[in-house]
Amino acid sequence: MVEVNGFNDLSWFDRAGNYHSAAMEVVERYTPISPWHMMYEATIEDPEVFTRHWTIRLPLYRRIEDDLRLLEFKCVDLAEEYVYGGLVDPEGGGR
Amino acid sequence: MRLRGCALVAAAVAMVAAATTLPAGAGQAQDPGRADYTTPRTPWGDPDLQGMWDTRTYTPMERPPEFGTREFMTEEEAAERERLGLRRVVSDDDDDLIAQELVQQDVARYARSDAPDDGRPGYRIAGAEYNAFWSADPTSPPISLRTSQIIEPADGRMPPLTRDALAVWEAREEARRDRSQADDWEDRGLSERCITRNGLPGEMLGSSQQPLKEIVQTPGYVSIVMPYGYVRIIPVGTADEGPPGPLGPGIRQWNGDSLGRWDGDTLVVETANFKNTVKNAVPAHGGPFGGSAHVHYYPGTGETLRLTERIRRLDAETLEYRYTVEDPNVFVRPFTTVNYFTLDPWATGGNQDRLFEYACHEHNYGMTNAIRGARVDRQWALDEAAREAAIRTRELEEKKALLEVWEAEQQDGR
Repeated sequence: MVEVNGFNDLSWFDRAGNYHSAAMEVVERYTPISPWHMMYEATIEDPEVFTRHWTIRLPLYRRIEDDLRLLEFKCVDLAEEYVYGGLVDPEGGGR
Repeated sequence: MRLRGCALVAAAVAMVAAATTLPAGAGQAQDPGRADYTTPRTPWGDPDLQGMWDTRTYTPMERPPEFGTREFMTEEEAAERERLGLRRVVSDDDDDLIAQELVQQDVARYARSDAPDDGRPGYRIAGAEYNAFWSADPTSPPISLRTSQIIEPADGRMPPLTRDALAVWEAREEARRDRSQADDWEDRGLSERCITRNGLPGEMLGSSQQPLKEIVQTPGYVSIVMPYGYVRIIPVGTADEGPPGPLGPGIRQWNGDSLGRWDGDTLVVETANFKNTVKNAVPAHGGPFGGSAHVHYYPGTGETLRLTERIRRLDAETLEYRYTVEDPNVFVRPFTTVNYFTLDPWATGGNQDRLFEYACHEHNYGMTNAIRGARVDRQWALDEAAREAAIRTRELEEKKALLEVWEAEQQDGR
């Protein structure tokens, strides 16, 4: 079990904009149910936003490929053109 | 995020350091640690390196030439250097000048911080107190009498760069010739762009801004939780199953791919598959080996860089951290450094210390302002770029001279 608090109120649950407050508390439960499966459960409690707590539950499946690992993901250099592109001067050395 | 923060903080540390005195008997004329120390084990039998470690050091990367091939200075020499305020800023290269200049800037800003606001943005606020904010930790790392982090080669100096590396350096200078300090984001460093800070191995050593690394072990893995949102999860294998095999040469990452193994009580981590793009070498603060405000030592091929780290306990409060860099395309020979990590006294005092989230990109107005600023006054931005380029050119000339000396030595068969 993992209890999580100390959230800020800036993130959303989904792209539809379902939100939470900084008072949110989450209790996660990770339960192995076979050598290759784990049940993941999270209970969300946020009295400032929701009238009652609610729970999500889904199985996680173990990846079993040889030599598997997570690789770096550098988001920033994919977004710089979008974020800063309008600031540069094409005549003044910018791209 | 702010610009030039690292260098400013280094300068602030120098100021703080100069104002303190060397504790009696603080230095060790040899490696810390006890010969009779037995490394504790995890419940599953691996050597236990876990804890919250302070990875700061006052030991310079390269040895000041006056120490020759001496790995350690005497207590008297340490006290004299302390008196001269040389605890942190000890190399004789341009870092010194830059740091001194920043200290002077701080002093000047501090002096005018009580002056009436004349309306210029930042005239009063960007002073010593700003730098102090980033290094609010009043503690100091233990003093070591080591004269340099580099222990191999024996002169404690970074090996000369190869002809190929110098050619890469020159080509990059040429590409930047008509660019200002911030014509666009790629004129700024990787750290300012929130892509990676120093990267390995420099990132393993703490600064006064963020001294801590947390080591957490599980069966098969050693995780090193670094500040700034960088977590290394290093597979080490178990008694039943070895670590995974290396990645193919086509997969490259800013911080490479690390694989670990135990050599007795020592964790050995080998990292390869570093990335190789021109972005690696944008000369701004940071760089794989730390580096100064405007230059760093590594033109970076990435493809041929191989990093070997060795971490072991010396006693209950101390880790020894060694790394060896081999990059035949860049350095004429490998080099090895040694540093000591100290168990964080705050965390060991019964307090819970933890590393916090780092959202570098969230308020990176520094980047926005740098690009906009360069557009408002491009001549100023060009002049500033030229000033930095001149510093790098000086360093490049020094590197060329070092290579020529080395080549002459090889010819003489020395």
